Amino acid sequence: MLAVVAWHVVWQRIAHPDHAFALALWRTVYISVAAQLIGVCLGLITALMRMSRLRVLRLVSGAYVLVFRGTPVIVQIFFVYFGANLLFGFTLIPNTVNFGLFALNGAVFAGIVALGINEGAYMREIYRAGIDAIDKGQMEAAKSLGMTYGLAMRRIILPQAARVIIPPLGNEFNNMLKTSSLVFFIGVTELFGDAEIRNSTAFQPVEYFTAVAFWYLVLTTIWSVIQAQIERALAREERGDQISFRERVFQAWAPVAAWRTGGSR
Amino acid sequence: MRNSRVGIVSVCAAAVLVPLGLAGAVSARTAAARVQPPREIKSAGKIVYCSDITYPPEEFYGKGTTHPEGSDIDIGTGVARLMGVKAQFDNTGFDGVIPALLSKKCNAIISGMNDTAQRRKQVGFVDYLRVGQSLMVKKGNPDYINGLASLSGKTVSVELGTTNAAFLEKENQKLSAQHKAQITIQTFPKDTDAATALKTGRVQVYFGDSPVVAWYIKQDKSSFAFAGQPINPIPVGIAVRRNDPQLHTAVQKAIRIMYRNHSMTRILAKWHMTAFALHK
Repeated sequence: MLAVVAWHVVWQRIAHPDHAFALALWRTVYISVAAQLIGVCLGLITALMRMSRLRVLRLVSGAYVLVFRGTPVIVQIFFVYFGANLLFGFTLIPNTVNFGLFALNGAVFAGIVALGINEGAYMREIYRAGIDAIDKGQMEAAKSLGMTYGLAMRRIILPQAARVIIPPLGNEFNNMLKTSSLVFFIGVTELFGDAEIRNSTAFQPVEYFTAVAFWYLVLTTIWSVIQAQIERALAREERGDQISFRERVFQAWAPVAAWRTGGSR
Repeated sequence: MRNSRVGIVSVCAAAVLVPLGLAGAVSARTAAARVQPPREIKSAGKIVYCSDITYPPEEFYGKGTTHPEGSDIDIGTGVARLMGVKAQFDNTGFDGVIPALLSKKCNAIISGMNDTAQRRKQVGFVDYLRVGQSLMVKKGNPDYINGLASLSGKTVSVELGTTNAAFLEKENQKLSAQHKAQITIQTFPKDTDAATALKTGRVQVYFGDSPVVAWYIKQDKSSFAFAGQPINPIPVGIAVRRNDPQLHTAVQKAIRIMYRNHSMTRILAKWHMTAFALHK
């Protein structure tokens, strides 16, 4: 069966990316990054809201997780892009969103917003776990030293929680890189959409999807390296070790290496 | 005693004969089939069509059901009936129908598919309609669209993998040669989403096949309207694998019979598509 695959087409899609492809790749990257940033911020805000003394804030935070973690992200994307216009009778997100320095296509913006809000719900749970993991005594000690709640959170709790939060956050972003392909359903041509569109005229699904899978693998591998670097930086004081860039790349591929060495690591 | 034994015998006889009789009726119907299907379809008792069931009135799910309806569904069922088998419709994304056919997920495609030279490289076609393409706009035509020439600089929604999408791409090449503003093409995997984009004001124009545009307008008169005249009529065909000449001939015969005995005319009239018949 492998002989049926036109490998030169796969190779051409990998080794000679054209302009439209580069644009699609770039879209995937910035949509994922922007959505993840929104998620990280929303998650932190709602995680703090959950610990608030005000009942309303706690309720809002809980309802947010319930709704956005409990409904499919594709439904949320459709709602933000199409639903708002039909529900409220006015355009919530204009067709072109102007940021002064640059303008963003309305569909791209709606996609980022929807993915970001969805991600925020998951991030809240990650923050919650991270903050809960820090011993209660830490907060008490900080307060007895005269710190306010906010200051203790900023200086004592969150920096320690970060070490617990970063690995799942990296996982989330890895997921986001791939989930962002859903915005194709509202007409945004990102990495996956580009492959779909080319395939729809070339009719070579195996070749085009193999190539696009390769590119997603490139993106996630690059991210693994960056993530490892961040984790190292956070753990440096404790471990005091330094590893080279080359070792980091190898570490990203650790599952493969483990397989080669028979998994006895 | 005797009587009751006779009774048992007759019950047994009935139990054996009734199914036999039914089988007889079925085989009689098969014998009455006017078109001989390939052996694999005959033995399966059904022909499986791949279809993107988001394309009213040609194929769509009826309101509140998961039952496919539409002109293509009626035509496909008509073809199957002439072969003496059942018809089954498998929902596939439009850009995936040809790969699905080639990988033998189905026997044929009936999905309002335009018969083009490019697709002929992959599959064989039996043409059964001839449809034009139409522009659809918001009611009242706020952007004054009246034809292809007025699309420059506008945003247009279209379904992925359709001839309509390819047509817009070609139009853009012409526009760039004339140094005019390009059409912003927004491609959707589902046709109904492309229409939703127009309804919600995300695009200024929807571009699709004329019968589909006519259907959307009929369904939602307060939102949609035609813009200009239909353009560029193209034949529409049932696609079969190129290495399946037996099915190709069978479908060809069936379509010819359906036009001759006017069952095609009735189907097209039912879906307001009389204008798109091959033979008038």
